[in-house]
Amino acid sequence: MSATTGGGAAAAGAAPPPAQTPRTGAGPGVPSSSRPAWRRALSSSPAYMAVVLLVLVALFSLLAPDTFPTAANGRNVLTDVAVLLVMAVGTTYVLVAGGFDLSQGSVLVFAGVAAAKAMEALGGQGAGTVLVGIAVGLLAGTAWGAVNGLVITKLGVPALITTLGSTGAALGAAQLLSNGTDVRTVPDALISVAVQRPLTLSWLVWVAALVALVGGLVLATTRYGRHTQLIGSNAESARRAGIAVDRHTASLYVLNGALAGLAGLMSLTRFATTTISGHTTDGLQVITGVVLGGTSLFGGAGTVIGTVIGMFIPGVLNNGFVVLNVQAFWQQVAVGVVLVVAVYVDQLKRRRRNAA
Amino acid sequence: MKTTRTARAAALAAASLLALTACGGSSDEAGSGGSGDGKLSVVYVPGLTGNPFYNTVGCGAQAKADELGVDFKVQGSPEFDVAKQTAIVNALVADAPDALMISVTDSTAMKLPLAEAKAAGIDVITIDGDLEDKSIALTNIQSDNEEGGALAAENLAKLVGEKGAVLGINQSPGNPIGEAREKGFKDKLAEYPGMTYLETQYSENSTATAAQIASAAATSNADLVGVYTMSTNNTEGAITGVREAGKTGVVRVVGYDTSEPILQALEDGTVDGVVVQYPYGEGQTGVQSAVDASEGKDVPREQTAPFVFATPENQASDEVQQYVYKTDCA
Amino acid sequence: MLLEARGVHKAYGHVQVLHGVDFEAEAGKVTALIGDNGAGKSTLVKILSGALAPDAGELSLHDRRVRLTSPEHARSLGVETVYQDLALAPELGPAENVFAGRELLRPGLLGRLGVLDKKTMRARAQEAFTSMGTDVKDLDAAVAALSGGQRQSVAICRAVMWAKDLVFLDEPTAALGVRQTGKVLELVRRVADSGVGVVLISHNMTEVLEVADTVQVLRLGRRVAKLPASGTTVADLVGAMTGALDTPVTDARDDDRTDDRADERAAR
Repeated sequence: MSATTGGGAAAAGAAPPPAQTPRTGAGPGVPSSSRPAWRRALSSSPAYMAVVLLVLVALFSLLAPDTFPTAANGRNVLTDVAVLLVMAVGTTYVLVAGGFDLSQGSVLVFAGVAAAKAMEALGGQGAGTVLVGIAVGLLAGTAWGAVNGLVITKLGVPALITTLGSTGAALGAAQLLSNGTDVRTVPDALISVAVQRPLTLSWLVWVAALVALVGGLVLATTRYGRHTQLIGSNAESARRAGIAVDRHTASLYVLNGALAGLAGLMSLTRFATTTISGHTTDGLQVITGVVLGGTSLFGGAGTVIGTVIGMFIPGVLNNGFVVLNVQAFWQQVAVGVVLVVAVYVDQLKRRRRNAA
Repeated sequence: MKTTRTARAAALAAASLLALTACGGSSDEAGSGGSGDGKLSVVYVPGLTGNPFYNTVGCGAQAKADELGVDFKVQGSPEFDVAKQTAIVNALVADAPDALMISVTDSTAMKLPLAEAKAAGIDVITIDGDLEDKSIALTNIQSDNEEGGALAAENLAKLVGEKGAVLGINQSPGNPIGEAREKGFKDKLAEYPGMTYLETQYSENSTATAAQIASAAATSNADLVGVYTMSTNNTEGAITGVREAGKTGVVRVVGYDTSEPILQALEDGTVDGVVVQYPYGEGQTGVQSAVDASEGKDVPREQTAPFVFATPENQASDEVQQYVYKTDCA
Repeated sequence: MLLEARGVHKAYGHVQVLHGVDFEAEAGKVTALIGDNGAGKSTLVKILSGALAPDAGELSLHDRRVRLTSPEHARSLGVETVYQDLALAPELGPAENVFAGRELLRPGLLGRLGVLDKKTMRARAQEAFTSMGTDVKDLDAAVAALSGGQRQSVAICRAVMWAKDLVFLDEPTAALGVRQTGKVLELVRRVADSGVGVVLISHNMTEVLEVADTVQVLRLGRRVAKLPASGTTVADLVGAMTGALDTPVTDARDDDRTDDRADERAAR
């Protein structure tokens, strides 16, 4: 039977032991007595990271009591995180399913350029033009996601390589479309959205909040989310359980592309231009936040609430350091240290668990 | 607004098409170069074709060449690539023009082909960046980034009544151009006792990060009167960040360099001023230097091009429009 | 007869792996399938569980001929397989694993939106774990945090929950310590007592004799023995497996004789 196996990491050495040799290879085992729920909650990465986030907020509030904990500054942080958070929700799904997607920054640019070009070609400043632009932007993002998904599942190219390729290709295509020059002719109707603040927060923040809410619920409570976790945890077992692994995986990249398209539209709204060369670090920023939020780089585990927390940690750090007027180099040091420590804690927990 | 925008866009699109066909045309004539008719011949090799900055260099050079009766043409690759630029230079050496103006793609890798050009008796004139080996080029024509930074500081100080704090947003540490733009600004600002320069923040060329830095500073620092951005992405980000903090007009944004969206922002008045380099002038100086050299006159080893400080008030003036980068020479 | 195979042949290229193997499994009984490495156990189980198509031979379930096209097909007919690697998702909990790919949805609109009925799934998993007498107690812990025996229990309970008729267990105790092996064997017995047929693939002859009702021995692609477990000794099984004794597929048992012959072979 060992010929058909190979997926599972859970148990069983490859060779069966000789007859009548009792094995203690399974190790001492974890006492199965239930731990209290509150302790379990504290041991999960999102909870750790929420504490880190709260400590950061408290620290900055202490150091800059008049300027950091203000409504206006809170609004700043929320607006800064909004666009990246939309992409981070999609990336959470991809990472939970054991995949990887580097291409979001470039897909964002491509979708923004495609939308801006479409609106430019259509002319006009009104809502009709904007609606077409939105449709084109979402479609452009979805199309890149579909390319990623098909190449990864049908051609079997590793996700890292595939999305590295589309990172370059999408940016190049965006430059081809725009001849390398940022499109600045964005309809007034779209620009005016950026300035409006329903319920004191920018539209961008509300869109991001909605995406995070729906994304979080779907991942945590639906069959689609459960299958995403199963695939990331043990793809072979998911396949044997009758889940269409390839189709599901491809759909995750499509979803991620669509969300990058949405983020492209949000960025276009925010800056009133396509900012072609300004998003090369977006993909890594998103992955950093998602991993900080406790989503495993190896798949199987992750939550959107964790991602929200994870995205706010660099957001608050960067904002706080500027507010305190600290030398910029410290920000990168701080974000880097927090990331490595977070992943180390994650690894430690896995190792302890797998030893059980 | 609507008509000007669309008309502009259409004009731009048409212009870039023309520029493309013009470039294609000139490459066909590459073999017929030389100075057969006794006229001085000068070729310009840009870093890549289709780039507004380099195009503008070519426009300035063409205008000067027409004025002085010089045979001038542009030969370039559509990609910013050392190998492609090398191939073009090698082909041109065989063609033997009198002078070669070049914006090098790499300050060390381009040494070899340009040394060969020099050995063949061609005057090498570097535009917007010298070779590491200073013995090859006849002259290097480049804008002085420190001077540009000082110009920005001077204008920002004037704008805010010489009082208050200024935040600098740079691309990434270690970039010599960015550092020069920063140094010139800082040194000049230090001459104003009422003004302070806050720590430089780095955006890694991310527009969103620049916006984040600008909004955080504008919200939290009551003394902040200005943001100085040292690249176009930073300027675009800072405009958004200051707007999102609700401080447009209170916190002034002054940037270095222009782009299409920044020109729009100047028109709209959402950016308070930008240092615009003068590639047109660099092109003119390049051709002038070639002529001077051929006549045995002294050509200074280092030449700088002037700047203009564009503001919402003067952006439409002829003086500023002359500086604005062009996608074609019309 | 619950499951019956007649004259199963299978070759991989030029290598003939099974030469007309017969096999039977009864409801409510543990049928052990043993054999040395390369005897054809894996191939036979793959054929019986639908993962592999035989070159020739007949299969019948409940005395009706079937042609299994896939493991999914076999599952739909009530035949489940627990592979040696267990195929569990280590990051997910026991209940999540039991319902992997067969999730229950909430009734009404929420269900149509794909919302899971976690409460019912949890309760039913709990019920299965308890009724099978397993020591899987912490339904919130990830499977990776469970002991090897508990993981094996989760995998077996999952199969039993969905198997109406028959469960194949591939080396369920191979990676376990003595105590946990005992617990898993108890579980295997209880599964059979609940009326489900169990086919146990194992190397460990002591445990086979302890838990099985019938033992079928494969050697070099042929079934060389079918013995009732009671009264059979380890030496009998070793003899059959190694070919020290070519027992007909009947209850021919003469302890002294077989022991002697096995000893003779061993001495050579």
